[in-house]
Amino acid sequence: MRRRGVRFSLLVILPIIGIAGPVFAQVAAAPVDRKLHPTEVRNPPSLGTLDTGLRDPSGASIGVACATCHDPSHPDALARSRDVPEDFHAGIELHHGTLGCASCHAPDDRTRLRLADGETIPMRDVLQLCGQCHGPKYRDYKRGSHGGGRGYWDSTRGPWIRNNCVSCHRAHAPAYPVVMPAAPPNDRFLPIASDEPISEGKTGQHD
Amino acid sequence: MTDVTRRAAITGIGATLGAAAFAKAMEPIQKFTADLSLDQFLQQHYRELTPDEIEKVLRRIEEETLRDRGARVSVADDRPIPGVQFGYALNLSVCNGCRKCAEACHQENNHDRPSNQSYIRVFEMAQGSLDFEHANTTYDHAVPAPGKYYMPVQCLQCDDAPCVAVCPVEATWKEEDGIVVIDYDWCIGCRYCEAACPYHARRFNWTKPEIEASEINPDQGYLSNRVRPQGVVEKCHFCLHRTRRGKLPACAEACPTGARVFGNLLDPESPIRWVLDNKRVFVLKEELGTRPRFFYFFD
Repeated sequence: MRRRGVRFSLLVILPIIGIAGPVFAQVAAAPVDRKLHPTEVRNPPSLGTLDTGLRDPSGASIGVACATCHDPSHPDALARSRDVPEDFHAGIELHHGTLGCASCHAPDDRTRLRLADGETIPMRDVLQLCGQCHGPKYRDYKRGSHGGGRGYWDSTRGPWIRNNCVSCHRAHAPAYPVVMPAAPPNDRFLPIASDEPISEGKTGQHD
Repeated sequence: MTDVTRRAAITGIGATLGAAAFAKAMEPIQKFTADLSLDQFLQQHYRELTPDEIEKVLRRIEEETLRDRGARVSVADDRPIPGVQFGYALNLSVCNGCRKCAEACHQENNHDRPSNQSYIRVFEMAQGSLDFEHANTTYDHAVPAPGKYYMPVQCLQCDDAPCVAVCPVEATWKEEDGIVVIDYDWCIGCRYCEAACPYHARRFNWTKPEIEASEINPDQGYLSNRVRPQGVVEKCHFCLHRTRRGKLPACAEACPTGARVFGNLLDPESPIRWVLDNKRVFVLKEELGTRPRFFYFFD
């Protein structure tokens, strides 16, 4: 009776091991087969360019790099100077709510950003600065549904290269601009639409 | 005096006219078959080809592209990645209708240049409506226009795809990773699928696609962006020659507003899963039961 029990259990267990063995081996092998490529975020420029309002002979506007005066490698002496050339900075158009320069830039060091609690951070941490006010966008960005990017969706094959806030938004006027679209299709039936608003009575457009 | 009877003369004239009319009627087919090689004519359905045969087919297409169009290309046969189910989501709150996605598709997928064809059609609609009959797809003014919103529509890769069901020759089918594909060499051009699709996602090649050799994207796939023959149907394939190698589709990379979220639905950490779990999501014409893989969402 006992021997029969042993034989029976062997009959049951051996096939289970036979089936399950390779399955477990596959599950265990899967995570270690490839190196993961970490997501990269494009670095924002440390300092931008100021439009001087002058134009070169070809008509292009002449800009002066902020770093010409505000040296990124030194604490900013110019920013504390009494004789700040106000006119020179008048070209900076600020359309960002009620924010002023010092809302984001560290007053003592224009090469760094300042958080609301007074702590200064390098320019490359712009996400942290903008995220202070734009919480839902910051959350969406962190979960990958805001900001776009290029490269790989599959981190086992290559990196996902993401934009930062100022890759797409101008920091001083962040609203996304109105743009001209790429060319429409040359439809066999539809002419290029005019700018007239589509009224309710107009025939439906099919293509 | 020869013995030409009236009967013989009329028979002769009738036969001549008949032969001329027949030749004229057959002319389009003769022109059409000039593009069709014997190898292609005898080729089996994609899913019945052995690996060796597929290799020969890919090399044949490369040779024909070089000979007919003067472009040196490489045609690959990318297969679905095990454990991957593709999904796509588009944020209507940020899409600004700039058509950069359609433009990128046009270039990536070797579309016919004169028609400026693309797998993506961007609908401009009045805010507060979802009325395709009064939408505008050929707008050419600054965007976003006041009071308007924009909805790009491409193949939604339905899980219950009407286009697949109606194909009389099984030239189109759904692959393991969710992408609905077409064997361009098996398609007979009946356009049943184009009529069956409720989203108008399919396009028919009325003419032989025209494209400069220098503009042909040489990175091609058999089931995706190789230059299509005349007389076959085509549609969006989620850039499978890119996405099955882990890359993002061309339209997702081109979007300047970051409206497009692409990824693996089976990966719980993926952005697409976060969107589906946390955003207000809908699919187009849900009532039809087509179960699309392409989702729209709002912030």
